[in-house]
Amino acid sequence: MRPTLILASWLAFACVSPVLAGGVTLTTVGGKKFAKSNGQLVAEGCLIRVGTFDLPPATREATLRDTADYAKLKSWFRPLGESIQGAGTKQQVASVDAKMRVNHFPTEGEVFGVISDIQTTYLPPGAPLYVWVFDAETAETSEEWGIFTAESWLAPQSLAMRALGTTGEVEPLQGQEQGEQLRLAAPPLTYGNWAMRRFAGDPDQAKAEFNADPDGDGLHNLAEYAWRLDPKVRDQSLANLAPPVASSRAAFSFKVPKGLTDVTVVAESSPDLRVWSAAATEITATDDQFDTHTTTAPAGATTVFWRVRFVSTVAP
Amino acid sequence: MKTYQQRTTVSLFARTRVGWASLAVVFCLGGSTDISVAATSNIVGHYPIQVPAGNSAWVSGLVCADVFEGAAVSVTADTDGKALVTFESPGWTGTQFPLHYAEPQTGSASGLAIDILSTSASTLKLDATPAEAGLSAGMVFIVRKHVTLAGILPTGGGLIPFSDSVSLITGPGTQASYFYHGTSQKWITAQGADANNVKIRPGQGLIIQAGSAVTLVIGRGDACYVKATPTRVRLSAGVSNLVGALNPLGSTTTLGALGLGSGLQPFNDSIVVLNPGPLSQSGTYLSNGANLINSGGQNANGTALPTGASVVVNVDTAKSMVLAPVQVAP
Repeated sequence: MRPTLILASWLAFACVSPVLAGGVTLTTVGGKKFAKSNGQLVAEGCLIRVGTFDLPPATREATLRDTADYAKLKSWFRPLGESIQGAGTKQQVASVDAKMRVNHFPTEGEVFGVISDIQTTYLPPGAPLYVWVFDAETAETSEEWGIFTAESWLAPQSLAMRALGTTGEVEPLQGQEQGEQLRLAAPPLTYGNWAMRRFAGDPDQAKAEFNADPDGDGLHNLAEYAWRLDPKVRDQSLANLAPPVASSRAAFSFKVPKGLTDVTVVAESSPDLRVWSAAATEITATDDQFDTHTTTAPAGATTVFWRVRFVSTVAP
Repeated sequence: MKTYQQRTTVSLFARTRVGWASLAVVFCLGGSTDISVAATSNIVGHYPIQVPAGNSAWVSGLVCADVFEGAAVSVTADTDGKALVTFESPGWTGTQFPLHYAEPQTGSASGLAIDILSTSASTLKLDATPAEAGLSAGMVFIVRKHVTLAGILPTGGGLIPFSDSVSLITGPGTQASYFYHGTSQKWITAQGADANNVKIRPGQGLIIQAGSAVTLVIGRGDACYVKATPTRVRLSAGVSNLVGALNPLGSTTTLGALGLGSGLQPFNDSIVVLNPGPLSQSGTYLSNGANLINSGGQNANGTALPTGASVVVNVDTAKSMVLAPVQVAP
């Protein structure tokens, strides 16, 4: 071959090589199977995502272990592909030609799929890969999920294929390994998880905002969440005022949820509507879901106002 | 124990000065920024008014709970011209609002209590035509029960049964008085009819006649909610309109704080402040277009007015005016 032809061929290859891309194969055949927390194998059609999480490498896995809020996890997730109905749909964001070529479950609980044409500009070779498995067709309708990774689960080099198998060591960041199963887990309730499920499939996602009141009952979503109410049904408040009578002072009572770690519920009082301070309360009743807190008007106070404040953190 | 519904208001702490000051609101978690958000319920409470012996003019500084808030999907006119305001799946029953009003939050009638004449599964029929109240689809309405005599003074409040009275202006030039029936524990008319559910409109003044001085506590009934939005009142021409701000604070306020100055026709409409006891006129004030002025032409915006007191407003042309809301810190 003449040198010019060799050079031309090399130049042609060099020009196209940046867009040549690799692929990954996800398979559990012969390895550990995905199962729900009760050991029931995940059914065909459950949502499975492959990708990485855009988090600082040094803290990425610790953060993933500690974060239960779907909205946060989703905001960090850079998808490579996911098994959805009609597999083959382009799912690789910002990629020109990435496809989930094959996705099916050879037998219950097993997964096999190929994602090809992974652009190195989208996901650099060597980037750690994660498999995010749900127990339903959509995240919104799921009750459990698991996030798994392994040392060998890395984004491929250009033109190379990488197998993501479960025959070797697999690390469950959310969920657990039990016997020959990789089990999902029910995530703790957070505002984001609550809103995701309560407004699943609603085309107007503004209704899921913490400050929305889609049922018009005067209770914004954050209050509905804290008080375990239905944001689509007009509810009564879980706070009440017992007005002053001749022999007793006014008392303000409200419910404080048990088991919700991402929201605080406190009472504030004010003599003038301008300066508000936390009201000292005592627990006057309790049940499985709530403590009832009660605060009374200060002795001698003729003018007192109360309100309930809900404070939480939400994903941006 | 009576339960009062709470409405929540919200704030994005990361975006408010108060929020920044009161909470460590933003923190980093694994490279992501979370936002601390807060919602507060509606405010409930109580306050006293010092009613002297004799006659004095007052107003309820509190309202009943918001029972619905939503945007209208359509506004049409019924066969009699009254507005039919329809909401999408509001979730109420057809007979739920017998003593209630709908308050538009925007438009030319924003803040005005418009009586609900009837209710169907998703539609309110209001006592106004769409044109006169400027009602249209997309407007947000809040529904509340009217304050009633039993709702503001559920046990008579300390007034002497069959002797002390509460009087309301019921129409141009007409007035009705009500008494507490100590035995049946109800409010009654002069003819003995049940008057527990007599409506007191937002901002409507009431005259209390008491044989001796008494402290009444407002907020003992279902009217125990603070209303922090402007209130629009209708004023009739050529008669005395008794109105007052929905201000439950226990301190003296001012004429200017009523917020009526800008709505008065300059050098024509007037505000009359009444002396508690004899209910005589203690002062008459006009607007010069910018401020309220006294008979000497001096700025009278700062004229003291007992909190909870109502005033007489005289206008030449029927109109609606807006009472300023009480200020509430977030």
